[in-house]
Amino acid sequence: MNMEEGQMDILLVEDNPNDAELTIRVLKKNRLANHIEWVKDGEVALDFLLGRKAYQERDISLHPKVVLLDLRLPKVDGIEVLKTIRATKALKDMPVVILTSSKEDKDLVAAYDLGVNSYVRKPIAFDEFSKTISELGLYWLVINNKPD
Amino acid sequence: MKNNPLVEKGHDKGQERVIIYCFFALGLVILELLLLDSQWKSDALFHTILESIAAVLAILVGTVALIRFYSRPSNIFLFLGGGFLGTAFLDAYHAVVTSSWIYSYLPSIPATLIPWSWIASRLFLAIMLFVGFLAYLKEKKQGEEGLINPGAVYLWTTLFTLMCFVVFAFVPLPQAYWPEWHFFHRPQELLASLFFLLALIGYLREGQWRTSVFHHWLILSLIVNLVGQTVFMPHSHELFDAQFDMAHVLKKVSYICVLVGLLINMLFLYRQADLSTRLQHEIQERIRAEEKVTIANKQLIAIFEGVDDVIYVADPQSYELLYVNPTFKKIWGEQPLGNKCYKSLQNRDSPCPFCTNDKIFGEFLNQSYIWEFQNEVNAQWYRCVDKAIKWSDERMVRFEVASNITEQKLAEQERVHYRENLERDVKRRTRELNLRTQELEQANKDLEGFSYSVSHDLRAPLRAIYGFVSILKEEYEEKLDQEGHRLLQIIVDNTHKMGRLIDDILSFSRASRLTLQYVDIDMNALVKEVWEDLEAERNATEYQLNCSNLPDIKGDKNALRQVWQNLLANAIKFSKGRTPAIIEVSAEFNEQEICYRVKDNGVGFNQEYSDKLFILFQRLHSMDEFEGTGVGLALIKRFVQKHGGKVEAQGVLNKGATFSFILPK
Repeated sequence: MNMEEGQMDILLVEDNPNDAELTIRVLKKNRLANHIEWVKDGEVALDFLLGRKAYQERDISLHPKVVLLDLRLPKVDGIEVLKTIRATKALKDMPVVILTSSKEDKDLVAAYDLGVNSYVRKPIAFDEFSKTISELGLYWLVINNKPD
Repeated sequence: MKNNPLVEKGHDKGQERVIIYCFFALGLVILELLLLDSQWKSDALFHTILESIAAVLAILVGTVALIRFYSRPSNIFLFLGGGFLGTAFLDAYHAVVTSSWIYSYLPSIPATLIPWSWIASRLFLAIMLFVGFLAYLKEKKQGEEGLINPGAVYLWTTLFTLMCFVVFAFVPLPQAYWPEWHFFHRPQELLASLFFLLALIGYLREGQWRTSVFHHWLILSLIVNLVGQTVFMPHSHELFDAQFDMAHVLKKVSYICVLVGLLINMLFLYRQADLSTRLQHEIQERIRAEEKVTIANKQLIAIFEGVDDVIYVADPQSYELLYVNPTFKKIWGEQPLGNKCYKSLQNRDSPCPFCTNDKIFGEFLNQSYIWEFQNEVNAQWYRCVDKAIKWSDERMVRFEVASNITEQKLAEQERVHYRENLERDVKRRTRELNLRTQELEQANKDLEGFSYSVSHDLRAPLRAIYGFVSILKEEYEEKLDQEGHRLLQIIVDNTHKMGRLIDDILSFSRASRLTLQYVDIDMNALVKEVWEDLEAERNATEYQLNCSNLPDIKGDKNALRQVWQNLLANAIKFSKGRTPAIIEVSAEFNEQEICYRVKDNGVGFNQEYSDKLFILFQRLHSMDEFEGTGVGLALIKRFVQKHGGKVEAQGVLNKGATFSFILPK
């Protein structure tokens, strides 16, 4: 994999540090991603993507290859983030994968209505969890193509 | 003067009749004067013929008189009848006896025989006429009681005539003619004249001749008789001369007068009878019609009296009561008709403000106006039917029939009351129900939120435990001894368990909250689908599935899928290790429901504990024996109950178990 300077691989939006740690660990272990940006709530996620507040200096043309988005987030929740992303011209094509514990159908439906690329439920069992994350990473970072 | 039923009524023609009588009498006298010097002479044969005619006439008159008498008894006709019949015999005798063949056998000479036999007849008739007049007076005074017994008259008649016959047959008769007397050569004739005169005077004084045609002709006849008997006959010189013959002719004229009078009288009588018959018929008809009216009247009255409703008729202008029926009287007292309706019915002093007269004489003319109101005097409710009708005197009057509907009215009011109460109750209950529904909805929402939390928040720590324990195992594997591994493994196993428990609880809670969406379900296909999904569980043993043809049913596909999933998963689980492991799926049905069964030949259960099977988290095996959380059957029960069905379980330890669920069609 190319390690370009300033490359942005994954934006992980996850409020649970444990889940975040496990996810990052798996991704790193499988050497799927070099740069993983982890934010803890929806507001900061949008700040990052749109170059606001703390991320004013960031080059916002540098999009992550995929956004791994949890649904239950403080401040701005996952669905809202998704909505904003899809409503922003610069970001609308960006791959968003919802990664959540929720088994609620209404979340699923709402996400797809807003044009999410993929909706994945986090397994409890760690082996399953590992497998899922690594497959996800492989797919979205390596296999999938997206326009520049 | 009282209506004399004995004679026909007529106008008072007295004046003109008097003139007739005078004229007649005078005429006859003049006739005699004219015949004074007549040289007329006839013979015995002529005389016989004349007298034969007389006899026949007399019979006729007598018969007619008696017919008249028997038509309606009256003395005068009896005496006329008897008199003329007797006279007929005597005339006949007089006729015969003057015949030349007979008188030779008799002791007297014709010169005496003829006059005396003539006298007999005339005297008899005169006496009868006179006595008849007396009898007439008697009847006039005494009415029906004055009627003479006909028998007596016939007896007298017969005796006299017989006596005459006998006398003439055996007694030589004295002289009958005294020529030396100046005018009255036959004075014995005057005896008959006397009686004629008496009768004539009597009838003239009595006066009926003024109005009665019969009496008029009777008097005419009497005048003729009198004159004939007084003027003509006594003056006759000899047999068969002019006076003699004229007297004979006048005799017949007198008979004819009587006959005419009788006939006219009878004509009137017949007319009267006819009229009377017709009148009788008319009267009968009238009576019959009246009876009919009376009966109809009685019936109407019976109806009106029998009706329980109040009926009255009142004048619309004067408000006076014209008719009230007994029910009216019973309620408002025996009111004499003529009281004001508003006074009697409502105890008011002026017309009722709600009077319906305007309506029934206005827009509702020719129709009934129906209304209800509560009477102010007796507080009863009435349903009134008012109408303007034509009364017997042609004026339009107010007619009302009022039915007492107090009971119905009260019942109606009660019903309204009841309904209002009911409505109030219903409103209250609805409010309560709404409240409860709101609470339940709120509870449901809370539950949804809760399960949502469970989805997320319970899972996350679990995932963390799981994950980090795995990392621990991985990273520090060499640093751990066997015991360490074992302890870690316990943590991992319990984490698994907790995860499954959470899933099951979530499933169960979702099942409870589920709103069924009914579709037609092909059960055969569904079972097949579920069986294939459970392939992973079936790896350890050879399972044989005998699935018979299952009937389709309407139900929630997801729910029923879960039902089959749990049943079949259980069957598989509990018959692990059996050779062969046979699972039978079958169904039974009747008109109302379908029963689906899953039978296995696994470890079964003790039927004693069957009621514990379907309770949440209750298990009949320990975790070592069979894994599971004890949610499956409870879930099935919940789903099946939601469909309105029920579950059943039969088991025999170590033989197998049959689980059934019954769904309504």
